Amino acid sequence: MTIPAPQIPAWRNTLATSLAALPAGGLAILQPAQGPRAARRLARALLEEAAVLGGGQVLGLPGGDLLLTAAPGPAQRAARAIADLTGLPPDSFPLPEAEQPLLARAEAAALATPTPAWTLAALEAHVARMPLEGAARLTLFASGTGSHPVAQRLGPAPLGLDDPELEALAREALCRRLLAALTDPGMRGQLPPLRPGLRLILDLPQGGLPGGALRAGPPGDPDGPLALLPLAALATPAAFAQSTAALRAAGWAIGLLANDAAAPAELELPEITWVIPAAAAPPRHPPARLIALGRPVPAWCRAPGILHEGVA
Amino acid sequence: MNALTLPPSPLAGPDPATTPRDAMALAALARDCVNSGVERRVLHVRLSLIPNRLREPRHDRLVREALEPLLRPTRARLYELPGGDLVALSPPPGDHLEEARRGLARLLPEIPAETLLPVMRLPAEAARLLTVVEAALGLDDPGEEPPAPAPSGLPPPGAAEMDAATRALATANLAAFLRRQTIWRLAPGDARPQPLWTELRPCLPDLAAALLPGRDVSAAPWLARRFRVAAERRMLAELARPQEARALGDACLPLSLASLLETEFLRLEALLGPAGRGRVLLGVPAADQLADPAGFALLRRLAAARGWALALDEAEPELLRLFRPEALQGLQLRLRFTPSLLAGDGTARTRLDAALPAGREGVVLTGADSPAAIAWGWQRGIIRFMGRVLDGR
Repeated sequence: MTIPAPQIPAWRNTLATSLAALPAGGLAILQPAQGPRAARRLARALLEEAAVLGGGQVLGLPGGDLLLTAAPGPAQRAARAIADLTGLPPDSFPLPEAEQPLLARAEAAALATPTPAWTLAALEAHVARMPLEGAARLTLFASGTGSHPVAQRLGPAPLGLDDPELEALAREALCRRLLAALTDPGMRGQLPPLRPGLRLILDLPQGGLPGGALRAGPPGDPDGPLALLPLAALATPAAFAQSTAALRAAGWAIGLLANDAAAPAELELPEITWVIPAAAAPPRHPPARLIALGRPVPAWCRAPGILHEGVA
Repeated sequence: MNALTLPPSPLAGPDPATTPRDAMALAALARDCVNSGVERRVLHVRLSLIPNRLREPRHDRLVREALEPLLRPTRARLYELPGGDLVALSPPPGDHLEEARRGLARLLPEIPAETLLPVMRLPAEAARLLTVVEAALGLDDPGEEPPAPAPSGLPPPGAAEMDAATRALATANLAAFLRRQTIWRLAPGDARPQPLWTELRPCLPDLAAALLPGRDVSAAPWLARRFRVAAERRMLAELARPQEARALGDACLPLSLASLLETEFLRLEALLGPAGRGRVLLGVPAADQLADPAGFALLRRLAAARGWALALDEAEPELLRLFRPEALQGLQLRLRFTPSLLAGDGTARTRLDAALPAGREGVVLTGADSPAAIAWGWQRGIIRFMGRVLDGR
């Protein structure tokens, strides 16, 4: 039996070679594996283009970070384009001066763990197996300048998947499980207990409530319990009109869930409550009814009529 | 306008691409007569009524001869309608119209002249003439909506089967499954349509039948979407080779948002360079924009920075209405023509027209399979079309 000799990871050798090959005055750009997957891929493509134009190369670090070494012109242009497109500027290291900080940074970044890729079958099994206690999440919301809870959202726990399509699929499946548990007295105990007296915000699958509608209250109250549908439900206007009419008749107000705080600026939906991530700046056309998701809660969310997660 | 020439074979049927132009010109002229009070005599030659047994080459010649009195521009103007009818207009008293009418009536004694060869007066009977034109264009009747694809009755593929199919797609040769169709520019005054782009897309039903036999991938929207993305990524991988990319030229690529944010597309986009990117129109389904507005915003910034033309695709008119005008700015639009666009009362039509972006030159009307589509588009200032009515020429 032979004991393998400790190996220097391949990326260290490659980095040493590419640094040695780069003429003085070159630039290293370190693109951390941050932001959504699409933005990361876009950054990689721009770095690779700069490598071709700037006589350098792109090195993938084990944790998913990318390192470009190239002539300064193309490298700088790529860094600027990445900052403009994704809003997340990468780090620049002028060479050879900044070689030591660069190596330290690469070394630290290399420890990050890559995110696993899901197959459909694996995701389906995972979502079906998740215990309800972990699959459901109850979030409390305060209103305006207040910090005591006035509303509660019962929805699926986000899986934090890289792929928006798979995340949407998981959401659909979990919503259906939640709904089934909510209407089954035997299973209801597995869900986080709802607080009495707080307005209910309930995540629903894209098609709304299947079959017999779950009664929420008297119809026509815009501040009644809120049925939360994904924005994608709008893509089939006829089906959307049908499912929302049924929900309204059963006493639900309608909310739409978008992954971009700019979405309310694109669509005009006067009777809809928008549910969006709490971005640094308010949306361009602030909707009449708005629920901001996530913490920290930016100052603009603490305004009358806006629900946010800033619960003390 | 077809004032001087007669189709080489009047009974062989009309040219589907040019007859809407004649029909629209005729409708405009009828309205002009009403506005200005100018009088015209009209002869409607209903060649479409001639039964098949009489449609022989020798009749072609006889009909041409009978129409001869009209074929001088000083005497009359001749318009060819979709469906094959001819309309001749002349200032009063319209002796030449009468002469042609008598000749034609002698040729076809089986059909009463009042039916085969109605005569109208403008401006008094402008409404009647406009009805004739609208009927010829198919604008009066929404007609049959193409039947929705019947549910196949096949079960949807399971997750493991989908995984296997997408894996197989990643290395499949798609050459036999790619479909090309031209997008044309045809304005009301144009003699012939000009090609703008060649649309390139994988034929998903054929691919699904080959890779998932006995399964219905369209049974659930998300399955269909996933399959589509896998097929598009494979197509893009094939296009993202230096030789293929150079040959791409003026192309329209209708792609899912997910495919546009994948490595294969980004490789192609780098390979094409600024000049190549400027010749390509990308189309993104409106549903994808709604499902991932953040991803779409990223793509829009990329398109603006790198010189792509970007179109919103497959948007139902009802959805279009919900977008704020500024949200569609800088975007082109691919709108699918369906006979249902002709249905509805004036209010419904006004609502739809208001939903279309102000810059109509950026709209492509797809599914233009009938002259009615061209006429409907022209009425709204749309001059870009894709469909069988233009391809079949």
